[in-house]
Amino acid sequence: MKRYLIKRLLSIVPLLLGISFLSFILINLSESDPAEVALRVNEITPTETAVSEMREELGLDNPFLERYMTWLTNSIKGDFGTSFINNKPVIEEIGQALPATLLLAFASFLIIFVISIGASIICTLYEGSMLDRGIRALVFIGEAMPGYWIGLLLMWFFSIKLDLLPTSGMSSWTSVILPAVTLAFAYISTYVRLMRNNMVQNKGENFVLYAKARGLKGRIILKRICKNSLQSTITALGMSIPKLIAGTVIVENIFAWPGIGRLSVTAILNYDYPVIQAYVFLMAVLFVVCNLLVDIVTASIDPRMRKEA
Amino acid sequence: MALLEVKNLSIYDTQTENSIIEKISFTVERNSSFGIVGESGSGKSMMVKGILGLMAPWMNVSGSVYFTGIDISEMKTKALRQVRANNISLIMQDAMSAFDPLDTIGKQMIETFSENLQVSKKEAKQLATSVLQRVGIKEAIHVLKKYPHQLSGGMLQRCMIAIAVALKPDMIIADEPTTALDAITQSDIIKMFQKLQTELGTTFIFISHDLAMIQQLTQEVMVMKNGKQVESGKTSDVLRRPQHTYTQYLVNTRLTMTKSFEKVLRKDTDHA
Amino acid sequence: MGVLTKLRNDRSAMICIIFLLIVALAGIFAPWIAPNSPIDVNVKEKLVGISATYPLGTDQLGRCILSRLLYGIRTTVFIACIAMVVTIVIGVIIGGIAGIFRGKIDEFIMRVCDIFMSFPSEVMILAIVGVMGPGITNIVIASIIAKWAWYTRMIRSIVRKYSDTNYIQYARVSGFSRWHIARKHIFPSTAGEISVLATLDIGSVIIMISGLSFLGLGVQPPTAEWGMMLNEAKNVMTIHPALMLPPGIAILLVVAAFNFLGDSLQDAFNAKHGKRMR
Repeated sequence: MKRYLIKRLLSIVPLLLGISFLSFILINLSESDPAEVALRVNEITPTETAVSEMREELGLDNPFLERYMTWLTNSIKGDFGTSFINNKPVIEEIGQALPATLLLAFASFLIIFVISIGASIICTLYEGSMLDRGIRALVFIGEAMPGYWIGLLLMWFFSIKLDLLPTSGMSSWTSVILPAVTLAFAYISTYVRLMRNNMVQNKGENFVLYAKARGLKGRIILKRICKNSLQSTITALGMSIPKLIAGTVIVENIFAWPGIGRLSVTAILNYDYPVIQAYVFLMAVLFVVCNLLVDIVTASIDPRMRKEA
Repeated sequence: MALLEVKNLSIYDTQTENSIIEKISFTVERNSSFGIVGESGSGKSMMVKGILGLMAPWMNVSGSVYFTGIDISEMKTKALRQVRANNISLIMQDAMSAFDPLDTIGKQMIETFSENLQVSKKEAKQLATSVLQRVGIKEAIHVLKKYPHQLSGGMLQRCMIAIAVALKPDMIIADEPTTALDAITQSDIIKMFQKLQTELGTTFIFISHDLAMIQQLTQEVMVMKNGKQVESGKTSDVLRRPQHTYTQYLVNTRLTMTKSFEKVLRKDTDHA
Repeated sequence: MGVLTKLRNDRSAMICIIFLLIVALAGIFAPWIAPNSPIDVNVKEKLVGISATYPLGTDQLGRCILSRLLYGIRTTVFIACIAMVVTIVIGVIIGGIAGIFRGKIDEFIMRVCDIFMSFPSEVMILAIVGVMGPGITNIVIASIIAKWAWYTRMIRSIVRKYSDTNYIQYARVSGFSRWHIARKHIFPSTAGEISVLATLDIGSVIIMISGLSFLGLGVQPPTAEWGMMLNEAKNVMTIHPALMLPPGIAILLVVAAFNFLGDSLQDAFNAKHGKRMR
């Protein structure tokens, strides 16, 4: 296990370097000159001298690799530069928006977790029944419905028609319900499909048959089926966390949720490169780290992996 | 009254529209040992599942299964569970996949005993240790801590036999208990079954395609082919004077195999 | 039984194919069949109900919704298809090279794919749109960059699977060149699986591209696009909620048809291989 951990930790180092390099060159591919953009958003006329001064200030005239190294060392220290728009440090902007996004993603994850497992258990217990077929039909429709449409429909029904929940913002705890459900919706379908197929497959396994033959209670057998199915879905479920955080972009914009998804879209619309760069870099790091954690958790749950590792 | 009486048992797969077994009938007396012989795919294992009500929902089972005079094929899930827990134990064909891979053998045995025998966890653990020793596992405590993938097929087979022994059922059904094992382990397991038969006085049903095992362990036998019953009677009679061409074929193939095996053995000894 | 015969016997799959063909034709012939202009503003007749002139009513600017839906096929569906086709062509070329030549080239391509795949595709697309600026060409490019790695990887493993089969091994031993084998044997037999992948995935591309337009990062007004129509509907949600229905249902139907067709195709292929194995 220890050796596996070390191997796995080492394996992400080149990956992280690759990611940082990629997110750095992405911004440098941009057609517009960052110095010019920085000047424009501060309402300074981009005269030639102003641009060259700005270029110097931003260190844009240094060689490419040197710029990358400076950017990388600063980023590791948490210094992503300052926003072109309001001159605030990017890390501060992200720090303010991140908790809201994490809250939203966490609430969504809970909904996804509870509903996918619940629905899969129902489908497995009543495999082939009307209930099973009904849930599968819903899953199918859910997969084809764009999240933003669901968000709008939910908003109209619960906030406007019934006036039960707030339409937007983050004023009270009820504010999180609609965005979280909307965000969860797109993923629930995928996970119900995955879990259900997994559980139905496990239900036919030999160990289930033998457990039944030993006269064990349905509840105990179901627990074993669940554990075995979760084992194989946990990777997918774990990977849904960074995907959820990244997927908040649309939802946050519909419900005016003050998170990093909204921050990033605003940044894109304003060509606020330092913010975009920081967002992309942090998301990719988050993705890699979650991936690592999920791998480790999977390995420690499964006794077969534990031994081999 | 016979312990188990199967009458006109048929199984039909509604998904593939195939008949798995057709109108099988046989009787097993208390304290006897019954063999079911047939090649793989002849529906033997399916029949066992049908008797114990372990069929997938799309399998249509018809006919009756009387256990101590009561038709268990008509039973509700809960009552049927009681029968499986207390009266009829099954030893499965593929030991390697019969246990939950994510839990230790010990936990799975203890769970079974405390559920079915109404004993405490501690008593269940003691029971597990003693039955494992009884089936010839010396380091029983060690084995209890192992996960299924850490044990050999023969070990897991013994664990299943141990569970069956501990539950003290009226009947033990062993479905191909030696197929997945190597020759030496096979003969060990057969010897153990012989020992258990004399010690326990439990009724046994052995299902196998291995005529040698059937010959050593059973008094009565039924031969199956393609889901149909082709011959049945006293084991010695059926194997010595097979009436049906299929049984003759089975016996002959086995004889030629043993003969060539013996020839090889003799050659070896000659050389030595 | 061939895949095509199997598909022909599958009624629901045929309905999907016919529906998608009708959608495609409607998109191609939009200028001839649309009752009105999709972009002409007519404030006097804004938000009117269903009528003979406006079969699905008008939006907040008095534009004909049916016409906008029909023209929207060209943006929403066709652009997603273009993005998909280009992604697959790239995937086939790079994945094919990795799968056929193996060795160091393969190793290198796979590492690059790893890096690209460590970005969640949502973030990748945002990053690229962020760099290149909003606009339809840019989101197509973004979608291709975000997805090529995954396709390359899938196509590589499909190619490898086929090149390990006996008859390909035999062809290799018989001295045919790699290119000959690739062209004559591997690509034809992998085409089926790749088409399943593409059909299953195109729905998500449609949802993603119209999602970006919904955010204002994709298609720019006044061009009609389903995601953008939803965004416009959002602004008048309180007074005219029905405006949310036509574009939403249109996306739902097209995506559902693609998904369903993908499932059927997969079943058809699996059944075929299942038979071969038996």
